[in-house]
Amino acid sequence: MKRILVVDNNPVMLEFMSEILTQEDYNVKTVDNGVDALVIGRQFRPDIVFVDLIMPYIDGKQLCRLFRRHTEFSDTRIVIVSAIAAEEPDFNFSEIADAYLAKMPFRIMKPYVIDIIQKLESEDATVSNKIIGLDKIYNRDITKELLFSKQHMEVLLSSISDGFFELNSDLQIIYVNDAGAALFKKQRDELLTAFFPALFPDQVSSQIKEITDSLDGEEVDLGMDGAVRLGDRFIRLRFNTVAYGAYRSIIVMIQDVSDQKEAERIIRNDLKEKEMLLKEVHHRVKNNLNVVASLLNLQTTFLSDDASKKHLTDSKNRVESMALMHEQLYHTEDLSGVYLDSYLNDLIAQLINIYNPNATPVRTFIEIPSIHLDLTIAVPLGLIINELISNSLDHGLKNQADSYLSVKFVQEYHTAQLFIHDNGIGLPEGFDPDHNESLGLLLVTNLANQLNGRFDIYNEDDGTTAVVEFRL
Amino acid sequence: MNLKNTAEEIGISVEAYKRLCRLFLDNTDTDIDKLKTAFAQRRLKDAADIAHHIKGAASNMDFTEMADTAKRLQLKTLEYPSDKHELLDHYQKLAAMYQDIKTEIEAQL
Repeated sequence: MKRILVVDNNPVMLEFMSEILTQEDYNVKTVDNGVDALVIGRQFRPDIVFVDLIMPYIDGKQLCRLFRRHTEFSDTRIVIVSAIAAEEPDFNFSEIADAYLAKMPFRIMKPYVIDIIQKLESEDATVSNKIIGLDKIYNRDITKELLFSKQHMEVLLSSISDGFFELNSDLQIIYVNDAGAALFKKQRDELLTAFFPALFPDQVSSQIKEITDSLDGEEVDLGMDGAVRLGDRFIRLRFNTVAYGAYRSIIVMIQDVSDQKEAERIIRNDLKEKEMLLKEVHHRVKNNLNVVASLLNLQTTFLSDDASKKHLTDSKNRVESMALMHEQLYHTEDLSGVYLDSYLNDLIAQLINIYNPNATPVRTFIEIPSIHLDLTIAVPLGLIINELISNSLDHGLKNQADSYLSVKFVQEYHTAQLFIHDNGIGLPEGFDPDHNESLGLLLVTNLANQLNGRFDIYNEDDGTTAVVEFRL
Repeated sequence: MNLKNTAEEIGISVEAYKRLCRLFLDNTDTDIDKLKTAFAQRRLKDAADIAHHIKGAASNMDFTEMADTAKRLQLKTLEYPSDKHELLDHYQKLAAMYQDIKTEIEAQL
């Protein structure tokens, strides 16, 4: 008994074909989509398969190609049964089918079906290479609209560079465009009916199953943050669903982001290289400033005049405070500035060590928040602190027992205030910060102006307080 | 319409043809409802596809007048801009025509 498989999404047509073929003692099976046709076809091994062309999921032409391609169907004869015959009367179907029957009213269709089967059964007979029953077909010129829309969609999907996949609810591929097939280095027909997650490594495959199980109409990304590796490429997958009546498909768009990933890698490497170079520059600047400081220090040993020695020592300290800034910079990750607390703690310790005014150490009270300051602020601020603390240690607290120094930095919104207070001997009587010849205080005033701020220094009951206020 | 004669013409038993008719009615009932919803929601592309489906089913069963009406409805649906009242008029014609066929078939089932 000959086995016949009928593939059509119209249940009435399936019932009709089943009825007329069973009557003629054929062993008949019917399926309503291309995926089931392949699955059932592999077990049933039909002698003849009747295929409708317009079907959801895998369309009839693709299905015919798949039957032709697979060796297990090499003896199967293929008959297209379609109503779109009127729109493509010259369609050359010989590559994908043995015969083409125009879908006509049931009332007159049976003899045509039986005649084709008999011709296919007879080794001598040849089935027409023309569409059979074309003159009997109901005029359906609107189908052209549907075909045009389908072809239009096919052209669109073939022209996009992203891979486009349509999956059925069992995650089998029912459509793939050229770009999608190329990603997996396969032909489109080879991928049809394949289990989509199986195309990926185990971990990604599990993620795909989880995503497709939970899709609820919202697009879901896989690989948005970290791309998914596929052989030598990196890809990003986007999942969504489409539903039409009882049909539900999963749409997967695959974007090859390998070039983007490569560009990111190059940028990251470039940035790393630039950071290393910048750190190296800061290191060298710091070393050079230390050399300058050493030269100034060496120069003082050749001087006998105390005033000149002091001028050189002050200059050396200024250079060292700048060197410390560059040292901080190449020890930090962020090269755009320094953390104020770290920089000032080191600077104050360095200055106390230099001046060491008393046998007993100066008690220090330091309140500095851990805020990140840009270099344009940190450099002048470091020099200001260098001058003010040097003044306190060298003048105010010199030879002072039980001395203390407090440094406080307060930030409120965009305003910053630096307070430096010592319990030293205080400013000389009649001292006017705006009219004095101290290079150090002149520097502080100028640097405060550079920060668009102001500087003040005054005596208090327990010593001297210097205030620098500026906008951050 | 006479189911017995049509079954003979097709070359199948009356019972088999009745099964085809029941399937046709079940599917077309659903399609007519879906068509109404698609128009109500202004999903005209969907409506055109459904009308196309109804036309195919009707022509298979050889209900040429119903197939022609479905075809005209599909054409009107694809026109831009579509006339809402004209679409409704065509839909009602199709639904009424189908109802007549259904009544006639059911009387013989």
